[in-house]
Amino acid sequence: MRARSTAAGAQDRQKTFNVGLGQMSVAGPEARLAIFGLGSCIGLVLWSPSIKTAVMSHVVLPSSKGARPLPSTPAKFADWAIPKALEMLKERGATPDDIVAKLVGGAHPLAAALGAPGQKNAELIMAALEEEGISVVASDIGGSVGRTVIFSPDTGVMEIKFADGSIKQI
Amino acid sequence: MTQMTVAPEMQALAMAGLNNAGQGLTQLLGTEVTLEVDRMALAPVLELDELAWAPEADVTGIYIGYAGDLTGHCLLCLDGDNPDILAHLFLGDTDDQELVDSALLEAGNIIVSWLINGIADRGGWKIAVTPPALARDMLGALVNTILAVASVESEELLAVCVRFKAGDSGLTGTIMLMPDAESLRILSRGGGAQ
Repeated sequence: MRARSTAAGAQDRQKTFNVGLGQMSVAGPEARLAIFGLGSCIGLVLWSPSIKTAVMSHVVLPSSKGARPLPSTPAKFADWAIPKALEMLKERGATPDDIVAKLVGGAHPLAAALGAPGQKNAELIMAALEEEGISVVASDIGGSVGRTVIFSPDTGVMEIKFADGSIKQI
Repeated sequence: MTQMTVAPEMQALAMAGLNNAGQGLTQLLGTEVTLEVDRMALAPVLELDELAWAPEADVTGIYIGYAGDLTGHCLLCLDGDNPDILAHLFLGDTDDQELVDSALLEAGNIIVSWLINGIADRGGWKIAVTPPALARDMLGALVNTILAVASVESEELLAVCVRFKAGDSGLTGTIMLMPDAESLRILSRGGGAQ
């Protein structure tokens, strides 16, 4: 899976994995997961608090309409990403009742030309998570500007930086 | 990135568009506009997020799509003072943000229309551009959104990233031309409306 590791800030030496379009990446408490410049796509994090491990998926579209998952883009569709992320967490010792979700993204910066596909994407992902019995404990969806998101599996905190420079945590 | 070879015919089509845009810009701005191809890559859509060379960079983006014999996307990116410089070249001095936005949309429309007309004129193809849309956002968010929409219809895109500079005006910018690879292949083999 394509995930670029980048140097963390001067004060924070944790390794940060950048999760590209349609990609997913797993990390334990020693690292962070990030998407820089997220637009209409959804950054979906499934997190196990007890083992402090998370999978971040950069979901592009909600449904594969039955197409088989491609190894090169395992998180292109939500219905590829969610089962795969659950499998990755279970392989690392997470139990189903100990997995929660956080999701961000779905911005529509070019709505006048391209519409707002992210909103529907988010709604369908929420419904799919509910079907799997996974609680969405926090989300930040929509808006007209992009975000950078950084998730810490150690603390469960997702930091969101907006294009206007404002920052919030969920 | 999984890059595939860009056939010479495809390159020639893209360059026809770019040369036409360069000549048009030179006439419009009254100063010589130089264009330099920074990158030309044929790749799966979802691998082209690397086009956003600085994903968190603040840019003004003017997006225009095109459809017909050739489908695809185009993004004109201006960072720093460049949106103001371009608007000034069109309008002179103004503090009216609405006027500035309108000038930027018009500039984007003209530049992309020249580009697309340069391609269409080679074979008498029919290609229509969509109305422009403007956003001030992170570069990565704009590229991410365009690629997400493109991925619904296209498996691969030809991404041509061109830096332009307008004489002594100080204006610099980037044009990302992202035609659908399959429709470009058909055109480069002489297909389309001919």
